[in-house]
Amino acid sequence: MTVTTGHTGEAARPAPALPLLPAVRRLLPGAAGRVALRLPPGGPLTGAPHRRQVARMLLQEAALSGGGEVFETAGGELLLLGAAGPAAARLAATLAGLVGDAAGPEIWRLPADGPRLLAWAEAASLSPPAAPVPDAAAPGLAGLEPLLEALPLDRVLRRHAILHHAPGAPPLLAARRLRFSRGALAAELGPLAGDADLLRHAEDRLAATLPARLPGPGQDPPDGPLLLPLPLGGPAVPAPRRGLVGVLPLAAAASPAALAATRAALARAGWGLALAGLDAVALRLVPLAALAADLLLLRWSPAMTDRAVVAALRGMPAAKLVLTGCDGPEAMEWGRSQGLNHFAGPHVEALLAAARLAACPARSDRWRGEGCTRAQCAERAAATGPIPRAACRNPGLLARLLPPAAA
Amino acid sequence: MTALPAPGRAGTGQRDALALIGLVREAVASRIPRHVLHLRLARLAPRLRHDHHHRLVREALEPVLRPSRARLFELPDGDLVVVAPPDSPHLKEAEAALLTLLAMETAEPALAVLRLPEEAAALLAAVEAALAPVPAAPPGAPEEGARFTAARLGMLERTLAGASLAAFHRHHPVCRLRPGAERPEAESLHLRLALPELGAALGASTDPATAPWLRRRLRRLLDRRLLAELARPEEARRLGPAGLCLSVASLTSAEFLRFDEALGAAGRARTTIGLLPEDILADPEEFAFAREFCRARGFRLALEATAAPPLPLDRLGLDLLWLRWSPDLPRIGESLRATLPEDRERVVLTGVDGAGAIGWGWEEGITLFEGRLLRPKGSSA
Repeated sequence: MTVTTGHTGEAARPAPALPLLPAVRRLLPGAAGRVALRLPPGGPLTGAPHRRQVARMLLQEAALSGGGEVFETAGGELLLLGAAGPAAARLAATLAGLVGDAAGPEIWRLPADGPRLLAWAEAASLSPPAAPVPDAAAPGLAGLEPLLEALPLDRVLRRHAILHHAPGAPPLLAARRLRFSRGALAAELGPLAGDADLLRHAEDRLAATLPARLPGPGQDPPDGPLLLPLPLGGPAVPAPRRGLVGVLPLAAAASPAALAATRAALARAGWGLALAGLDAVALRLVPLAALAADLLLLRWSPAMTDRAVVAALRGMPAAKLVLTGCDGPEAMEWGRSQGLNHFAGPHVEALLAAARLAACPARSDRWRGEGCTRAQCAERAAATGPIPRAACRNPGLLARLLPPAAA
Repeated sequence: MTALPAPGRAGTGQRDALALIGLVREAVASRIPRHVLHLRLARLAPRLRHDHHHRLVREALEPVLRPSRARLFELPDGDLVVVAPPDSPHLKEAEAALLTLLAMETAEPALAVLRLPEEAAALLAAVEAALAPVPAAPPGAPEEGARFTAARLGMLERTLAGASLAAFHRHHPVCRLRPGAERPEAESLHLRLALPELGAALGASTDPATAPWLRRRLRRLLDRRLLAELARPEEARRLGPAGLCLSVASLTSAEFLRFDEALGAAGRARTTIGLLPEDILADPEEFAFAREFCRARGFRLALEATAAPPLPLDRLGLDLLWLRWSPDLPRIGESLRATLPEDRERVVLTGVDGAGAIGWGWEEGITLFEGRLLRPKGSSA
């Protein structure tokens, strides 16, 4: 077995792209009766570098036992060329198992599928030498906390709506939710954000200061609950104020006793507790009924429609569940089919922006070429800083998020 | 510093304490062995703290200090610490003389003999105690100074980069012990890092638990170091049935892949990986990926839990439960029992420190125990 990448020694400069085609041409004649196994780019096995590394190791081992050569392309694809059929089939089953049978590899039988392989290889080039994994001390760790202390919150804090939409009733604004935008925070942190744990630590530190720095009632009228992130590392008991709901990540449920104590302490201050991050995989692992929380924030993905996930939701009171991350009508449709009636996500933001624009007295400006687009309206409603919001000529409506008569 | 100090010079004490901390860190980093005599003069009964006794102590120490490379440090609370090369014959003599001198009428031993780098933590703890008596932390949010920050983590990472961790590897035997059996039978070995000792030796006075995401990053770094060590061919060959607790992210690291390769199929089948509930819940999708990968490679997987495991083993798709013993376990018996796997062969009671733990384990049908105190049959340790 050999592994071929574009390694050209200890070159500090980026190596020129090496075409894959010559190697494929060379190996193809000898691969008759064998197969090529390809993992497409950006998939669950190749999207993240650490997963691609695992997949490549499995391909290399299959090559060791079943023959063939492994290639990694600049586009993040992996190819095992010339493996024996049974070995490739076993490998394909292993790979599919890693990602819950989501997307298995593509298998080309040779020589029949040779033209397809050649056509693909023509456009592919080998990956440049892997950049050394940054080890140990990340430079700038010492600068993280000062950076966070100096960071104006509104640069990274966003407001989202939680919509109550039950069959036969008009949609209502059930709650507002403040959360940190991962993308905006990552942009502020720079290279440090490359480490997901540092990014989450930054969120924790900002969350610890949030109760004392909430946007005023001009932005968030006290007419409903307000959800806000709490730090995982020893959430401080917040100042008593009714109508607030602290949101903790699911990792807080690792210690049921500590979670129950936190919930009790929050309740004494008039706060509720929500747990976030319940995605399709989490719902298979965690018995929902045992979680000590007032609200459970489910995270939509198409995998939610899986039978085991649906079974996990059975018997849970709908008032306790919010389907977040709704990115289109199918998410809300599925939610309603499960008896859910609290929704959040980009699709909800778009619906609300449309309802505001329809009710906005300034809407006719649109026809004079001066009006707001739906995206602008959604962006201003999500902003927590004065500048983006100042562009709105109807701040009262913007703060309400949903016009009262919207149906 | 070889001149004997007169007692009660606070400035000297402060300076000496800092110098001693530096010396301990050097010893840990370089792994050059040293013997240490810690004279806990501050603990002596007042009537034993007269000048007369101090003179006797100094006289006993003179032979150690004069010819050898030994150094004497006076701590701010009046304790004396002598650091000497390990084979100094004078040190043995002085130890004997001091034992006779100080053993008189003291409730607690006034003389501690420590070895560096193994017992660096104990010595540093003593120095810290001498430097500043730490008041009990008030409940609630940690103070700014006590919080584990990214800056502190950065310092730790730099120190770790230059230090060998071998002195902090602990091998805890896992033994089968049935009621009425004469001696425990060794089943496997759990490899653990002595984190509190490591933290103390590195001068980390704050608890990483106050910043859980930073602690995750630190654990990833420590995992990588441990795995790199174990992936050396001679280490991997020597490794019998073993268990190690790793973070989920470490299972897809390059170091783990090398460890996997070095073990081979037979080695992987003998190895169990323990995972923490907070790691599993922090990223369930990555956990599911890593679990399936480890399974496909032939590793066994365990949930490492303190108190009642928040997640049922079968739902997680894990093989074993490593349940950490604490005296609270008997109290939560009923709720705990409901979460234990029915097949008690899948439970290992870890951190076992005495008969109480084993007795409780037996009551619950557990016969696999892990602890530093367990001495399996045929073990010379």
